[in-house]
Amino acid sequence: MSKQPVVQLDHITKVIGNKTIIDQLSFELFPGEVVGFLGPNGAGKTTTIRMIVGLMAPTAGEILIQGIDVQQDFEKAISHVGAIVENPELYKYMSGYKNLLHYARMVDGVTEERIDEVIELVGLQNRIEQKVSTYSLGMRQRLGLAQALLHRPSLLILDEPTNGLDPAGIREFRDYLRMVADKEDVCVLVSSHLLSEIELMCDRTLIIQSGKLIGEKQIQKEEVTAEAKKQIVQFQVNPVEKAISILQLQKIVLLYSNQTSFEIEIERDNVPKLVKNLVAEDVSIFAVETRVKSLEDEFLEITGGKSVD
Amino acid sequence: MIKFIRLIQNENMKMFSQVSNWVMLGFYFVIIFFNVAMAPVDETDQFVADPFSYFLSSADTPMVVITTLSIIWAAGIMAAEFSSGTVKLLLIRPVTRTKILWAKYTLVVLYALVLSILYYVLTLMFGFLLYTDASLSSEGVMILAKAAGLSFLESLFMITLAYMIAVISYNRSLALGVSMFLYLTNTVIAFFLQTKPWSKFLFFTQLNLTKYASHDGAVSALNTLAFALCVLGVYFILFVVATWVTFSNRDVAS
Repeated sequence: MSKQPVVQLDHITKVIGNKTIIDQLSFELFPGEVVGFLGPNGAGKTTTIRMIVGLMAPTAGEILIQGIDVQQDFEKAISHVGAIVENPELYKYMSGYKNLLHYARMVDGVTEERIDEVIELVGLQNRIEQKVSTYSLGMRQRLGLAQALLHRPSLLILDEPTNGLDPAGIREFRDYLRMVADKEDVCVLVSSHLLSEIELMCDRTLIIQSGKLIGEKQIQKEEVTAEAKKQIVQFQVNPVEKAISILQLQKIVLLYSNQTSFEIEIERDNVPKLVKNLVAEDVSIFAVETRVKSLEDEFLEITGGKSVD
Repeated sequence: MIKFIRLIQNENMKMFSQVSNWVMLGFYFVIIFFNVAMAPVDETDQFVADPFSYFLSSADTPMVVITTLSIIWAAGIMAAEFSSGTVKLLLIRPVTRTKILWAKYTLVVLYALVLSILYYVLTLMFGFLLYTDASLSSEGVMILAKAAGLSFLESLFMITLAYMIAVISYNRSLALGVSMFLYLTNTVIAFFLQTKPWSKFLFFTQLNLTKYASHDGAVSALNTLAFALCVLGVYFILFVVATWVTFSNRDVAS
């Protein structure tokens, strides 16, 4: 990529007490991408985010935002960042508008028009004059997003943004996120442990465990998957034994089988041929399903489903 | 500088959006009116030669209230951000921690200052309303001004102490408890420690400054106002530095 990265983490290490929370973590984020930041609880996601936004200082290594070191020139570096760190904790005793005004005063150049624009973007026009204590969690989440977008950041960091939201709220939030990512053209870093959600939202994922980057994956869009050569295909057939003997003749590797079905790894182009063979041998086929590996499978594969240490 | 003023404006907005602030201000006015109601109105009272100056000099109860309210704010204004988690969104703005720290402190000091000035204005106003033929001697003005200034310095010192404990411990109750305890018992502690020569270097034995208002400076040969101010000044600088160093370097992990 020839684009200048928005964020660069260079061998970041964080030691608290005598425990290494983050160990030599390095990655780069580029403009216009939505990146998922995955890891089991306690892997160091929040610590990493706190270091990027300057709430914590790294023990070693440096973090550059638009080429500016967060530790050296905090004011300048952080002016490119909008963030929600964990839950959007706002001043409950003030109205939504006063909350936004509060944050707008802390940055140069946020006009009243901009505040109104952001309120409209997150769809809070009708409730903005009411106190935040009367807001639902979903509305607080939206107000949190609004405060993060006020100063047109080039990097938006959302730490566990859907924590505590119901399914409808999660979906709504996801739609809003995609919309603002497109409309405001920002780089978004979303941390979460909800995998399916990350899968739906992001272009790329970073997986960390015990403070180390252990996986990085471009999320494949459906059309790409369809062209991928080897696939796992599940067949529901009767009788299974007969079908398996046919497979063995064709030297197809069997992955799994039970009373009613079997799974094989097979090239896409060979599926019709196999089906024809099975039908010719009088095997009844009830269903043929392609199993796409979900991010969850991959996540567990990569992290080994290990517990926190 | 403009940014600093905007930060104070923010803190002010937050302060006056809280119901507790209005309750406390209500309490402040109740105390002032109570003090007026208790003023000796009978001008022929044989125990009080000059009821007007008596009214002015006895009116230091409200100053205790002002200091108490200021301590409550000093203890809470930063600790509340930590306990509610709002500090995370507050500190990720293009503003240095130093500015945020001192904007909050400045607002509490301004709060104490405004309440003090308002108090003296109201007291004088009610004084002239109650005693229509009274006149203020220049000596009376001096004592009053001195008392006002010294009690404000007491408030300032207590604010700084409470703020330091709150910022270092993130604990509102601890800051409030320790500061209020020292503020209310400092004369008792000073009395018990008076035989120990080193005790005069402890800040809480020097905290009672208003006693110097009516004297000509010296209470005893060693305990002069200048000495007290020096001791308190050294502690003041110590507190400010401790607060500042802790806050600007600490990881925020709440």
